[in-house]
This record gives sequence, structure tokens and C-alpha cells, in this order.
Amino acid sequence: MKKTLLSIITAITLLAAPAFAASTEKLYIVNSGSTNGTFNAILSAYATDLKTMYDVEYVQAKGCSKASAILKKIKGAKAFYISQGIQAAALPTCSKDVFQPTPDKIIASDIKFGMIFGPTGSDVSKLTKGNIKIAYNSNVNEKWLNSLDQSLEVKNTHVKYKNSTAVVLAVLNGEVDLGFVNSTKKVWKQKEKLVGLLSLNPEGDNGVPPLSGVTKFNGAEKGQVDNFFVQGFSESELVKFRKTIANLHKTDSTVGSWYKNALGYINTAVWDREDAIKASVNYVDMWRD
Amino acid sequence: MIDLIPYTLIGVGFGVIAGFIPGIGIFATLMILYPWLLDFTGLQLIAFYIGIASTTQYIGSVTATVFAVPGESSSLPSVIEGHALYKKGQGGFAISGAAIGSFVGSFIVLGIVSLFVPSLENLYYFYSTHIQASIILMVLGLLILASSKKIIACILAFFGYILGTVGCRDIDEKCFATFDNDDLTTGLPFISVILALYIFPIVINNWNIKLPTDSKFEIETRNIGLHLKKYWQNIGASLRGTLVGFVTGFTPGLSTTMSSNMSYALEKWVQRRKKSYQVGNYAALISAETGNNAGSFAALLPLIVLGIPIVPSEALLYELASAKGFILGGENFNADFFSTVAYLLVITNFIALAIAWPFAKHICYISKLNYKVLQSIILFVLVGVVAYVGSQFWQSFYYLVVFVALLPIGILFRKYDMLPAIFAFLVATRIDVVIISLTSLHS
Repeated sequence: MKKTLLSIITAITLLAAPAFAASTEKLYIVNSGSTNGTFNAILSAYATDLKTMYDVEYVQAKGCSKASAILKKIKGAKAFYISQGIQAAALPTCSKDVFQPTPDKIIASDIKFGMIFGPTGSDVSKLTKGNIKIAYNSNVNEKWLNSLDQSLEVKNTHVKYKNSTAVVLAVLNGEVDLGFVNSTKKVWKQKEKLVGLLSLNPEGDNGVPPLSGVTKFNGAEKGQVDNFFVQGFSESELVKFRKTIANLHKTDSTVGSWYKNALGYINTAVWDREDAIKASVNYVDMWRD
Repeated sequence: MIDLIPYTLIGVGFGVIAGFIPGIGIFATLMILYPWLLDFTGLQLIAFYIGIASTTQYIGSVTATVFAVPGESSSLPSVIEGHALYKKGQGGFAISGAAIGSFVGSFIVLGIVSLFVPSLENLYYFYSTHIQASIILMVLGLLILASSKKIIACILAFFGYILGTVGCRDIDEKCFATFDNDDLTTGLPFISVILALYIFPIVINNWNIKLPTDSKFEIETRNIGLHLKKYWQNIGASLRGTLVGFVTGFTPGLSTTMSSNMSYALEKWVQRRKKSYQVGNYAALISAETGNNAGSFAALLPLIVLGIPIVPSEALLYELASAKGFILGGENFNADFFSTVAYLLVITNFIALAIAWPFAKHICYISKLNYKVLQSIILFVLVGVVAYVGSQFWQSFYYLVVFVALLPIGILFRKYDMLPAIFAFLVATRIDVVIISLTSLHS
């Protein structure tokens, strides 16, 4: 009896020991996107993996105003957060310092190239002939589509939707002729019913030719970034944290698996730090007026 | 799929509680459990919801039959016919008939829908902006028409819409009524709004419910053969209820209320024509109860196929699942997903039948509860839930302020149907998005 009791106490002690031994530091993960968007999905995956290393507190803070207010509140504590580069460049509420890619806080970025797509069987001539309906989301894309029309010397009707899911759905149900999305993940998911026509990636994207091969204008080769930042990290802590993030991308972690299943994202966590910073800055600056 | 069964079983457990306690219902139960549900994954939430939604339909009719208090508005026929049968000493037949009818109704509907699953997968192709606009308008219209005070319902719907537009919207990054306040940019928290305008007034309205304590709680449930024979003699009523319940279950905003009451009205008419109707009619009761469960499944279809919640509890489920990155409907609907839902529905129906029928006699213990104390506890817990959910967004104070600010309005209008306001609040952003898309489509 005594032996059994001793074994149980030893087992409990051994199991509990790591919890007390490792001083788990607090890490706030701040989602500046909506709860049902891609940002939330990515950060949730990070939270799952980082929970083993940090005392993670996940904070939902939709929009730049709320996110920056929360980051201000927790200044001094460690925080990991995400922001859309295009908004940091073009949206007044997102122009605050906390969302600008600077070496002291940038960890990595997801580089994405927009794509014009249509239902299976459609081709580029649809776009170049004009007089069609193109679905899009966000104000920035509206400006971009106007520039594209000017460059192709055509007139198209641009139909605004809430998000890329709605844009894909509008093309699928035939409400519009073509769609334009910043992130191609949802288009690739429907690759049996949809076809990529032109990519903003100068090298093309999974067999989809570059837009710059059809028309040249300031915007034909525009990539976008979603930036991952930290707050409250010293230089050495930032370097160490970046390594942790890179390792998650190299393994079958929750984050690693998420990216493996999401076509159309180039994550810079595994890049050389200087190159990653340069890419973040360039792709944000590209969208400044 | 097997890993989801525990969540369905937990849902069944809470469905029993929600159905047994008169006046509470699925929505308030989901609200109370909200902080705990935040830890579930999207699929676990759906498994849980199937358990709670189906079981409440079974158990609610037991409570209605014995105490003549409707747990949900869909239990009204049970209050009229079931309770009359109960007073005649036929409570056992009323409860077994309702349970068997519910079981049969669910299985027939599930079987029919299963045949059309391959076509359902393509249904979202038809979910155009025009269809979305029509559905939203139809739901709002029906909710207003169903209200006894239509002008007040219109005003409340507009009020709900205005509340729903507060904040910054994604589609064009425009902000409304934010007054440079960071919290307001995120919009009004739906949990605070719904609790203040909908749940609290319901609980307050039910404050004076008195459960009969002098009734004889004698429910004969042992002779299964006799109960099955009685049901078989009235199976026509049950089948009619299935058909009517399924079709009317799609009625947005009303769903099972419409299903059970329409099936009931039809069967009452049939029985009157046969000159066999008098209060305490078994056929009318089982028709309503079968229709109720058939409708409960029909209501689930627009949600899982198109991602359109048509009753408030589904809107809550949709919100919760979305927060976990699981978007219901559209491209996420496929045959595998439907099989999972069907499989969980089958399990739930077997368990709910097993619980509702033989254990009905234990319902007498509810009358021993101090109902006012129970309601006070519920109200207290709900306020705690508001603060807790707010804390997840670092907005506890904001959540409580919105709740306190809207509560007087909820109490003031507690005698009116607040569903138009709640629905308009929940779909306000969708309305804006649809208007913007339609405007550019036709420009």
C-alpha cells in the first residue's frame, strides 16, 4: 500500500515538475482581423503551438483602432500580432507606428499575389474585351481595378463584395463574369470549377501566367503582405522568437500544417532576417500613394 | 466522427435540462453555456447543438404535458392537447405518442433529405446576392407579420438594424456612430444586445410562472406494446405532421413554432371533419409533435447547406462556429459533412426517445424547485457570462455598459415580440453588404 502511494506521489511530482520548473512567460496574441477570417485561423494555429512555450493569452481586437488601443494597454508585455500591409499603407486608422514594418518589430510576412480568375472555360480575352462584371473586395482593389481598366482601355463593371469568399461565390454562381482576389487560397480550393487567368506574381502562379505579360501598368506586379509583428521583445529575444516561428514552419506543427494546406502564401519566417524585413517594407511601400 | 459523440451526449444532457425547466429554452441555455462553448471546435459545437436542439423538442413536450407550461413556443399544442390528456389520466400516452412521433418524423425527414444530398452540394451556386436579399427581406417580413403589433415590430426592426450598424464595417471601411471610441469601432457586442433585449425580458416575463404542486404525477410508461399500438392507430396523423412540419420548418424566424402549430391546426381540422375532435385529442398532439421535430431538422438545413441561420439559436451557433474558424455552409458543405450531421441526429433521436418516454415520470421533481430562486440564479449567471465573454476581447466593461444601457429598453418592450429587433441586429451588416453589392451589380 505504502509503495503504491509513494509511486502515485512520485508520478504526480514528476508530471507537475515541468510546469513549475519552466517559467512560462506571458505572450499576448492579438488578432486585428475578424473572428471568422483567415487572420484568426492563422493566429489560432500559432497560439496552439506557442502554448507549449508561453503562457498565451489570445486577444480578439478587430480593426486597427481596437488592436492599437490594446497594444498600447499591454505595452511592456510581450505581444505577437498580425496586420495587413495594404491597410498600413492606405488606411488612415492603420497608419500608426505599430502596424508599420520596422526591423525592431517585424518577425515575418505572408506574401500573396492577387489573381484574376473565372469559371472553368473562361479565358483572358473576356477581360481584354471589356464590358464584363468583375467581383472584388476592399477599397484598394477598387482603385486597382480602375487602373487595370485604363491600362487595357476597356470599361468593366466592378462589383464589390464583403470578402474573398463572397467574391469566389459570386463567380461560382454566375452573378459576375470574373473575380479578383488578393489571396488565392479560396480559388485553389475550387480548382475543378474555377480557373486562374492572370496573376500579379511577375513569375506567374502555379501555371497561371503573369498579368505583366498582358499589360504593363503601375500595379501589374503588385504583391501584398500580411505582417507578423512583436511588441515588448528585446533584439535578442526577437531573434530567438523568430527562430521559434521558423521552426514551427519547418515542422508538422499546427502552423506548419496550416500553411501546407494553404496554396498561394509565401511565408518569410524561414528567410534570412534582412531579406524578410526588406520584403515586408517593399510590399507595404508599393501601396502607398 | 466518433470523437464528436461525447459532445452530442453533453448536448443531450443540457437539452434535457433546457426542456425540463419551463420558459428557458435552447437560446438562453446556449447563452449561459457560452463561455464554456468558446473552448469547443466548430465541429464539436455543431455536435453539441444537434444534441441540445433535438432533445429539447422531446423533453419540452413532457414539461408542457405535465405542467401546461410551454418550454418553447412550439410546445403550445402539447399544452392544450397533452395536458388535457394528462388530466384525463392518459399522460403516459400523450408523452409516448409525442416521443414516438418525434422519432418517426425525424427519421422520415432524414431519409428523404439523404436522397438529395448530392444535389444539395450544388445548392450554394444559387445563393446569389438577389437570393440573399430576398431571404433577409422575407425573414424580416415574416417576423413583422407574425407580431400582433406590426407597426411597433417595424420600429423595433429598424432599431435593431441601427444597433447592428454601429462600428466599422469591413466592406468599405466606413464607421458609424463610433464617436472616436475604440470599443465602438468593433460594433455592439451581440451577447450584450441579445441578453438585454431578448433573454432578460423573457425571463422576467416568466417570473410568475407557478408549477402545479398538487397534481398526481402518475404516468404509466411501462406497457410499451400498448403505447406502440395506440401510436400505430394514429400513424396517419403523424405522417401528415411530418410533411407539414418539414415544409413549414423552413419558415425563417419561426421554424419549429410554425411546424408544430401548422401541423396541429391541420390535424385539428381533419379530426373535426371526422367529428372526433375534443380537447385532449391524441392524433392532433402527435401530429404537432412529429411536425415539430421534422421542422427542427428542416431549420438546420439552410444553416448547414447555405450558412443561413433562420432561428436565433442558430445565429448564435453560426457566430460561435465562425469564431472558431468554422464557416457553416457554402463551400464547406459536402456529403461527408452531411453524413456526420445525420449520424449525430440518429444517435440523438435514439437517446432522446429513451429519455423522454420512460423517464417522464421523474419530471415531478421539478415542481419541488423554487422557480424564482432558479430564475434569479439564471439572471445572475447571464450577467457573469456578459462580463466573461467581454474579457475574452478585453472589453468586459464595454460589454456590461452596453448591456446595462439597453436593458431598460428590453424591459420597457418586454410585452412585445423583440425577435424583429434581434434578427435585424444580427443581419444588419449582411443587409449593408447586400445593398452595396446590389448597387454595384446594377450600376
